[in-house]
Amino acid sequence: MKSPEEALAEFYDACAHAPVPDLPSHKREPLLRRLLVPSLGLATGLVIALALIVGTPMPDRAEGREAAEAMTRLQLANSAPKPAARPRASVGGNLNA
Amino acid sequence: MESTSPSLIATAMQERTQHEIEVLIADLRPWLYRLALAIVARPDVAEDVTQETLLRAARSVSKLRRADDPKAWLRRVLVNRAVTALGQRRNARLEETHPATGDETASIAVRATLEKLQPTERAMLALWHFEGLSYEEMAQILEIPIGTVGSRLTTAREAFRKEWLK
Repeated sequence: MKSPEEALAEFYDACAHAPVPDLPSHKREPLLRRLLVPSLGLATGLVIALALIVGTPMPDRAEGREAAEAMTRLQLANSAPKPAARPRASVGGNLNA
Repeated sequence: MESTSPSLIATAMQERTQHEIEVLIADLRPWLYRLALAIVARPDVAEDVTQETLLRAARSVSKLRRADDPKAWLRRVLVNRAVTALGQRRNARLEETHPATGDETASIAVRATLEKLQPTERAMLALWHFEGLSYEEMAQILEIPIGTVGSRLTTAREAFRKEWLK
């Protein structure tokens, strides 16, 4: 049996001469893109932000109409003349009476 | 281990022409991959660690430019990635046993022994025996005091010896 030192030395020697696998194109291209376009992160962020803005679902028409009607009712209710305030009942009566 | 000179790496990173980047990747990948292999001892994991290191370099081109020694910077990133990858694999490995058989090659036996060591111990052994770094360089990479490197290296060697002789 080999000594631990011999075994380790042999292993590291094998690593030093190990064949290096080719970088597959699906890994190589993103890497090149990242290296060549360092600002890709910002650009990607902008694209995602735009996609989120454009892709935000709008309320459908029925919902929008209902909301508008509700808003109108609320505005009308707020703008309706308020009943005249009732005169406060005199608590202590007329002190001058 | 000989590889691309630090100045060539720095120049390539600064100019970032496609040709130079191609050269850089072609030139650095073997060194990074073999160092990763020496630490993680698995080709598939070594390949992932190498790729992650190059991607990290791509994301941190400005840091790489400022680095006094870009190669040392890359080495530190790779070692950290390798140690992290080994840590993540430790739990999964419990079910992935490699029973020792009489016809195993020495390389497989060494790999099985290394797998019983702590990730940082494996990194230390590789940095010392494979990369031939000094205590100071190892201390910088592992972010430990220089005085601690010697004792940890001894511990790593002893751990390997103990497991190997089992």
